[in-house]
Amino acid sequence: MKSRLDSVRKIYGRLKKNRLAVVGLWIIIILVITAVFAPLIAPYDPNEQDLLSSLEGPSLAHPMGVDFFGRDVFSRVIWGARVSLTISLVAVAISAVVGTILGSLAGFYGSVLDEVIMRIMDVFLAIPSILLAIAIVAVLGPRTSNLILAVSVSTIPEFSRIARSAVLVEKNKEYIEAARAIGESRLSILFRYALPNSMVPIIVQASLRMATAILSVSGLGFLGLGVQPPTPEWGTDLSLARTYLEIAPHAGIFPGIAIFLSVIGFNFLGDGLNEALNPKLKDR
Amino acid sequence: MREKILEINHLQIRFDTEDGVVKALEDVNLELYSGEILGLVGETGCGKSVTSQSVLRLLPTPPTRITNGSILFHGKNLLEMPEEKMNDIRGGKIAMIFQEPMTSLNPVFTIGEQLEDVIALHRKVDRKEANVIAVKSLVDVGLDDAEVILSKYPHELSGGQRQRVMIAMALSCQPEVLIADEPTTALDVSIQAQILSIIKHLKQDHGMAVLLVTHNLGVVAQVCDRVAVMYAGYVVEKGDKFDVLKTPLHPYPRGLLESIPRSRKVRELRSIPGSVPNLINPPEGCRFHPRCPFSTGVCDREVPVLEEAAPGHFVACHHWRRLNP
Repeated sequence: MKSRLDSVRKIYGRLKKNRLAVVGLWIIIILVITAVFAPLIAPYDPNEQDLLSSLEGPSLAHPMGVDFFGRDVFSRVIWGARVSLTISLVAVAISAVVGTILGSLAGFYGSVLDEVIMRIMDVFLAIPSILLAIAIVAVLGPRTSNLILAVSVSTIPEFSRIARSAVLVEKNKEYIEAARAIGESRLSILFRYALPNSMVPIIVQASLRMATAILSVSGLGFLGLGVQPPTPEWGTDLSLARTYLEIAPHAGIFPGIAIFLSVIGFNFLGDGLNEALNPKLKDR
Repeated sequence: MREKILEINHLQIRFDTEDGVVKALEDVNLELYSGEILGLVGETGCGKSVTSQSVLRLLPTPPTRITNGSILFHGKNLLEMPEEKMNDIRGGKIAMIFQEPMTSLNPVFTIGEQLEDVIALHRKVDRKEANVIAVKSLVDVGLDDAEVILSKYPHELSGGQRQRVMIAMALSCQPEVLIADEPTTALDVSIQAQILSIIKHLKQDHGMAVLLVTHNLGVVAQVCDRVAVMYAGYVVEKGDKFDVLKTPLHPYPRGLLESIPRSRKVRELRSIPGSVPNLINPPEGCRFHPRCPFSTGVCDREVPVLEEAAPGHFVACHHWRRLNP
């Protein structure tokens, strides 16, 4: 156990050398804290209307101003973090698990199974992911569960390709043969030997995919296919603010900044992790 | 009477490759008795590793095809055994050590997790007992600070330590047969000697049979009881270590012995001309004849059969009588 903690510390030590990764990590930490403690941090109820101060600019009472319906933008941005992060996280988790299992089975067993799984993935890859997500939500209706489904389905192929190639590399290493020689079953070799050793690119991909997922969720929201009003969500709010952008830019700018920061945070962290977890640099 | 534990009969193996069919093994006959160390020697590419891996059926199919022969373990043919039964034998009854200790351990688990796992799998004991057995087997291979080793990851150990861990893992389930595929090639000479003496002692203590694959005749002289010499997919000579090393009957092992540098006698170092033939298009007849100084017309037409020249000493050469008057 001690040695596992040690390796976490070592990875953090290498991550620290990359400044952007640290920035990304902090953005994400702040984002997560905001999402978890939204009810405590937000000064107002995100749906509370004060129509008299509609479209009012930033002030001490409303640091990010007020939107068309008289709601506090600051509170909505804070609550929006919760919605965006939850949906993205669940969607990426689902697609990482499903994609990794499919991809590693394809890579490990090869031949017919490989062909079948990967050709299906190719079909999904051929359709632009945002278009696929729009199609799924348009058909199934804009509910949160469908939104998660849409985002995860469009990310599964990426994970399966990465898992497949990682498992293909590990599959031919000698410790796999040694594991066969000590009588481990094929499934146990896949899940206890090949897969754990292929996790690095998958973890990195998960971080990068979080960024895309946040973008997809807000994109769908912006198009009216995502989270439905009055639930606070960055993309949906941005779309609403678009109408009054000339007279009240603050109602759109702040949700936009939130999207921008969270996307960039996950991208920075993903790139940093890619370097920090690179096995070639492991013992330095 | 010594018991014949493992018997390889007329084993023939083919690999399908893009360039053609590689005739890796043609006709391999070997037997392993309980409590002995059999050395399997030959040049790179002669089929030593293929033979040893085929015993545990570790060769991937395709491209491998076993086209003939049987491998009997206590009289049961391993080549026809269902996969689940085979998994009980792998590691449990027949264990294997590989050439590269550096890469033969799973990098993401500690030594303890891996070792206890194997023990729990084959000896049907709980984690606590497995730990006790793990500690004991590490001490058996000369790793005295076993507790510390168990908590470490493979990359934190040295090559010699890792190879000992591999041996401990192979022996922890008290196998009847140990297959060691060049277990010392990747190690320094001083560690090599230690590992070999561990294998020798374990054989004596547990009555285990060992199939030692090596290309080092010094290793054979040091630890083996019997030796089999392979060339291009055939066993060309086998017998007691002293018989084969002192009075080799086949021109190939003779050549091998003459290629060892000796410090006492100052003479020109001889080598066998040429190299192991391409096994996609092997020479007709005796596969050694293009490199053999004694070959005659019969050698490129007929495959010599393995015949008993002296009790327990077998040779496959058309001219062994003429060469050894």
